[in-house]
Amino acid sequence: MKKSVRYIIIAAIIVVIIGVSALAAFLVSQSNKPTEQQNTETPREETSAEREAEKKAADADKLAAGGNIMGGVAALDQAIGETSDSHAKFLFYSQKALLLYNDKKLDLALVAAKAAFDNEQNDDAAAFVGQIAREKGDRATAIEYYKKAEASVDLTGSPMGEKDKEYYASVVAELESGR
Amino acid sequence: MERKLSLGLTKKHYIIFAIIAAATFSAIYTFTSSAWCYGGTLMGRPCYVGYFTGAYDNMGDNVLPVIKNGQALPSTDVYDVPTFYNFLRAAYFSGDAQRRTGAAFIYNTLEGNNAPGVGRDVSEAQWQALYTKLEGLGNAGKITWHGNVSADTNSYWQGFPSNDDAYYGEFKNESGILIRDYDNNVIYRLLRRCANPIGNAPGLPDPRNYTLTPSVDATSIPSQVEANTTLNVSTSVTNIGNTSSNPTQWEITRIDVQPGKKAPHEDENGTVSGTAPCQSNGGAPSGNYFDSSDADCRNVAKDTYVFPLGSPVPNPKPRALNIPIGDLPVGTRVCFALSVQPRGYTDGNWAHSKPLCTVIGKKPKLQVWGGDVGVRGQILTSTTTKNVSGTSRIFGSWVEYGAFSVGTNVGFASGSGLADQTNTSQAAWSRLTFANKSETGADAFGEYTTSAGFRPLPGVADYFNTVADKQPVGSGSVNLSSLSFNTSDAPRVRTAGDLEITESMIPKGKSVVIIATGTVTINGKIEYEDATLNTLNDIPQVVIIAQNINITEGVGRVDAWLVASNTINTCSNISGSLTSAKCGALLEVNGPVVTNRLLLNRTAGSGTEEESGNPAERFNLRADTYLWALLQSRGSNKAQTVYSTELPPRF
Repeated sequence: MKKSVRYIIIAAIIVVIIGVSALAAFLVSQSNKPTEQQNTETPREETSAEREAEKKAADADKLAAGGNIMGGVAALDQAIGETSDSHAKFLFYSQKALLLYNDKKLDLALVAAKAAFDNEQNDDAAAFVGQIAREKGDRATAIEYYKKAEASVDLTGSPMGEKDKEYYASVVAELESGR
Repeated sequence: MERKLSLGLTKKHYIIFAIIAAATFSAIYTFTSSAWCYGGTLMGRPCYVGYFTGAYDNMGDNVLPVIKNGQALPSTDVYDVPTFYNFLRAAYFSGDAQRRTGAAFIYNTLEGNNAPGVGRDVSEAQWQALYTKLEGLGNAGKITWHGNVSADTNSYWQGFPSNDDAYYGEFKNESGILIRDYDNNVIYRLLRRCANPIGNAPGLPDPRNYTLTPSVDATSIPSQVEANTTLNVSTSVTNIGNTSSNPTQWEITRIDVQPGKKAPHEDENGTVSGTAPCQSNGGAPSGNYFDSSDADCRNVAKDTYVFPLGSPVPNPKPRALNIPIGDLPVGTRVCFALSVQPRGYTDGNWAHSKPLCTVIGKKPKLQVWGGDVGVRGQILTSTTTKNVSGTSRIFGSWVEYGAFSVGTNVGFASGSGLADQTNTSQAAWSRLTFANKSETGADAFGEYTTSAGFRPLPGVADYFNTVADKQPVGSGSVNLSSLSFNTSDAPRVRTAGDLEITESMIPKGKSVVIIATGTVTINGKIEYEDATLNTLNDIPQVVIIAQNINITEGVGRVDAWLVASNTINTCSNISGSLTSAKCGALLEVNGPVVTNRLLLNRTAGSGTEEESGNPAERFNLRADTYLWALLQSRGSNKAQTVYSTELPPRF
């Protein structure tokens, strides 16, 4: 076989491998995502489980707003323990991280934020970990997670995708420059 | 013959293919979509649909452009209600389409308006109304200017041509501004990076406020109280506003003020201060609002209430019961004030009521020695119960012998009953009260007989009017010693219209009889010489018969018969109202008193402790009166019975 033909065939094989892998990855990631996030165009109603999770998060927030921040955190911990749904866990961990972060308990907030990211790896979750790490002075972790955030941005489905990506990139640049 | 296609791939090539496949898989797997379209509507619009125009466009930008430090709402520039409000208005009036639309979008969503709200044109009145709501929430601490906010919907500017803002589904957790309602529910979130409102926005509530105004009920504060009594203080609170108060601490403060002085803030019609009323006796710490060099304060009651709306609030009403006044000197002013804190929803100050005061007064007492009291009307005198040296004692007015009255007798003792008495029952000190039992045998005092059956008035004036030897006194003031005649001689009556008597010392053996058609004013003491009297003729005596007899304030002793057809006034020259500072000297009248009306204006006595029973006036019918009268019976050495009544035996 001529060399040129061989190279063309090999290149085509590589393209196919890339395409199939990408398709497989997309399908697997979609199937692993909550149903509600699998299509950015088709409206989906809030489920009762989501409403319940949001109510618990709101109740914990109100408890904290009344001065009982650790009471709100405890309520969220209880909610986390009572659910196996990863999206619900993500919401609860995010809210917990938020309460602790706003109360300047950065170490505990970082743990909760990472747990939120582990349950749902989206750009916002990664960015929040980076934000907390940056405030703690942990530049390495901050860079790591802002880069993850940048890589996770949904450029096709999110109207704010470009802006978010620019923002995360700018933060990475600041961090890497020492600011 | 089959032709075979051989690419010459080795194991190395397959490994490379595997790596490419794995890398591609990983890269694509992590590239997950985080945005979605929410079901239904948010703020009246489906996802990706413009708020004002209803146009669909899922490409976007910040609601407001970045200004500084990577933020559209820089935390250095927007950090309170005024800066936030002015920032929005600056964007609205900027002339830039994106900023105006963004500002109008934020306005409408703050107000909770479903699309299209009031549109892109926000009136000045609408801006003002928004500010009022923001201000109320800001003052109540319901806006958090720093920290992260989160929600599962985001917004964006759609760009041109629609120049509109829309919502979509995406979880955001970033630095932002958080607004809560008065019940701490989250009602608005705004990202600082892009000024995107996130989450639902039910609208800002109207300002919640209330204002408390405390007051002391005037009906619970008498104008005067006696020392060692108790007092119940009632107060009320007015709550004006649109909501019940938060839990509010209240304190009732007692302020003891020196005689003639005023309580702090007494002349002000309620005040507001950051200072607590009075820390003494358990009041709020550092309280000294009602303390001064002229006044001592202490807390007498406190608690925490929620006051509903009301003018005044019908319930609850702060009170202080059974406050012991204490044995305070007469003239001391005891004041009470109610204070509440916080006075308003956004006002943490104390509101203090105007102090209302009572004065420690006295109930002057009368004593009659050596004779009876006969009254054609009612006898009504006061008593005082005090704890003296650990013993509860009762003090009041009394007569040494009998008390006779046509009307009832309330509080007036007979038989010296209230001299050193501990029994508060009138029966215990009314042994010579006519009568002291009713027809049924129950305790009842006075009402001895009818007016027709009452003892006749002594005919003193009639008797001396028959005296032939009458000489006018003349006008002006007179010392009685210049008008005297020998006691042993027939009486000489000196006549006058109005007469003023100065200080007069009547020597032994001399007598004076005055008959005045007008008013006799006694400006100085009239005193019989303190000498040894060997015979009846040595007895000095003064008889004053007039229409009115006035005794001025400075006179402490009158040795005379006082017979007035109208009024006898024991302290006639006071101006204004009678107070404990006036007429404060004891008046002793040594002689019989006959009058139509007796004005007892002296305020002496009724002190503290053992002096609580000291009288203001003492009328003393001494033996010299009887003996001198005997002489006037025209040489008879016997006393002639003119009236008799049967008395119970006295042991």
